[in-house]
Amino acid sequence: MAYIEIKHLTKDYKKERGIFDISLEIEKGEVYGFVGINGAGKTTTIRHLMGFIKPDEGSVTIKGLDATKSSAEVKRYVSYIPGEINFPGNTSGEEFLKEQIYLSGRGSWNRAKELSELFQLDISANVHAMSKGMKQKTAIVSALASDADILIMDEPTTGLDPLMRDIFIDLLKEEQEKGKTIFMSSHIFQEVEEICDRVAVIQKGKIIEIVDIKKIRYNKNKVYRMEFKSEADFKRFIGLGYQISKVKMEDLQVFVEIHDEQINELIQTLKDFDLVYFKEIKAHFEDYIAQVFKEEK
Amino acid sequence: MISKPIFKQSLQSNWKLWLIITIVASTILSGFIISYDAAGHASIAEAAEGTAFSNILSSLTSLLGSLENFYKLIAVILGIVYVVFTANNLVVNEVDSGSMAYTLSTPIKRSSVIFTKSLYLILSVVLMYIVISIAGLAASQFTFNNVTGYAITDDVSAAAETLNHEEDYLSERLYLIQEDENAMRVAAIARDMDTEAYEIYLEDVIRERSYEETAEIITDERWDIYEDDEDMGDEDIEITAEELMEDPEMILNSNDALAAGARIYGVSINDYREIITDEIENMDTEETTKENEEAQETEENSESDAVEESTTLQRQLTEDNAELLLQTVIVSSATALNISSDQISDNLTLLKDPEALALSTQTTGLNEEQIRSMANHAMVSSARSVDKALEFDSETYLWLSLGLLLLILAMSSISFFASTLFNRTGMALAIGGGLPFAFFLVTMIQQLMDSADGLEYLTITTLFDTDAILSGGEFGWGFVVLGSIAVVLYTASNILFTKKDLPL
Repeated sequence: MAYIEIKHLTKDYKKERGIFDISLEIEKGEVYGFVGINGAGKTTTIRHLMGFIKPDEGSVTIKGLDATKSSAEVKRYVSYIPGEINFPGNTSGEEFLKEQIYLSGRGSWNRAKELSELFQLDISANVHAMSKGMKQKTAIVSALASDADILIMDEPTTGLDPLMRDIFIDLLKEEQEKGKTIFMSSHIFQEVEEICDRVAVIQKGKIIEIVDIKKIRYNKNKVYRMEFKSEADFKRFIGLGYQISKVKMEDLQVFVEIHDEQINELIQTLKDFDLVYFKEIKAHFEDYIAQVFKEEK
Repeated sequence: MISKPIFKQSLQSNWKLWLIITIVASTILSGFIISYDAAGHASIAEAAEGTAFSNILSSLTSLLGSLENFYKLIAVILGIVYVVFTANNLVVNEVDSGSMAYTLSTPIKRSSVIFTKSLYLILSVVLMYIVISIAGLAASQFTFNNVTGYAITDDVSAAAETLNHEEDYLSERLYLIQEDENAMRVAAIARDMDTEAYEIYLEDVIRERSYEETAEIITDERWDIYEDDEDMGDEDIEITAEELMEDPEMILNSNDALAAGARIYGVSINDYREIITDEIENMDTEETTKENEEAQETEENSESDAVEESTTLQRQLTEDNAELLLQTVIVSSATALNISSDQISDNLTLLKDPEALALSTQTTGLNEEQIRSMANHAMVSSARSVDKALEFDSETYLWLSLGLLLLILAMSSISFFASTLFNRTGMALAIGGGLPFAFFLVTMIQQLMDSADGLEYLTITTLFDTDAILSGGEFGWGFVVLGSIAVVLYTASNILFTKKDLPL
């Protein structure tokens, strides 16, 4: 049985809003991304994981426990960063962090202090006086310091500047190495690609694609872009029969798609040509998703 | 079931409003009590006696009656402000802002979260009204000394100074004033009476107190005897001071009652027993003289009309014409002394002025002795109404406080229910605040217009019937309904919140 198992989850808010028949399996130690544009149903799905809302149909089980019925017990293993962050009470960040460690019964204050320093977070500020970025950092510190087996995060990088975002991504990689299971939603495909093992793509409440990032990252089919000096060379190359994905006639540029095994052969061939440049075009998840969305429409 | 951290958190974010409202309400109640003008209220009530207003004003004749506006309006609106904002803060605000997500992302059950929060609201309301009630008690005690003992009136204060006693010590031992001529004089002046009237007044007070205290003791004794007797209802067991006055023999059978009565008179038990025996004898003779008089009257009628002349000259003072005669006497005295009749009313001793007496006897046909006794009677009864106005009825106060508490708890349950039902603060405020406030407005209109028929069905404040509590009417069912509203809505809130979808 999967560590987190979402089965035929349906919550119909009518007028085509909601989530419909979502099924996902997240394995222990996996970093699972959940992407989609705003309003696609990411938050609704996550609320089901947290037991905040009850499904119309289907179920969510976390570590074998029903996330709806045994919601409180599930929280023993789960740490959460909500999409919209506001802290309870009227206390300082420090008190909030301590309280959260006390309430959840796990995590360490030392780790929280360490993380706060890492994020350059002033935890003496009152939680209501915090800026959006500060709140986000506090929420991240709280989640990471809690040392939970499972991290569920709803767009955790919103409000972070690029530097802090990188620190956060690095920390997530550390957590992954520790064997934590991470489920995070995002609408920024780049960051998902950077850390996730698998990504589910949701659109209009339905899962339209589950992508294995490793397959994109370690794809053996690569695209190379090259520009020829003369039109004669350009035309001659096209005539050679390589798989050409794109041609830019006016710049004398060619995009060639080949398998890694063919790379030597290509280089040998190119010895006879006069090139301006030659470079590999890296495949991005973003391009891939753009492709998927285009097809769906 | 209860989560301590959540309770602590609720306390941290809500204690300020609690403190402010509690202080404001306590201050207003104390202010009402301290500034209570017993003489003023007594004179209004006296003036209205027998008129159509007497019913409306009857509640005004006591200290607690004067607090009706506090219990009907001020305490209610302050309570509403507290419960509406606190109920909102506790639940819907946390849901709407999303901070509830943090509370619920810990292994605390939802049912425990909502139970703790409802408990916080209930306990804070209960504590608030206990504090307010105690503040009222304290204000009354410090101002009038009428909670733990007898109210300290002006005469007691004046005499205490003369006799060099503590005021409350003396208020329990009025006979000490009787024993000292000097004290009698200053005390009489302090109450706008002459020594003659004051002496009657003091005797009257001592006599009544002795009956009250003995009645209480006898009632207690009867409780012990008849408690398990099913034939005896509470009413049958209880002996009131009035019942005892009609039949003082019961006192003679109880040593404790005799001791208590003797203490009031400041005499030995044997002397007190004699006082009671005398009173019983007097009652017997009064009855026989009455019978004799009636017999005489019939004889007189059958006799010649010669006697009639003297009876017309010698006007009889009866209950029916007393009020009218008193007014005539006051007007004549005012003319004789050349001052306004209001001044006379303020200081009835002027009726005994020789010039005033002369004119009064002329106009009314009463003799001097009758006018003197009429003046005394008027002074004593007005002083007695002031005493009555100053009495603090602890039982009524308890019911008023409890009724208010139940009303606010019912209001709080409405706010709390709205706070758990809605996910948006605005909506919860509109319903959970709007409804209690609408109830308050209806009550205010009711208080402003006396003939607001049908309005009482529009508000739950009707269930807290201050009029019935003050006049000793039936009010228990209202309390039961208020309590039920609170129980039902708090229970519904708990179930609802445990099951609902939360947008966190």
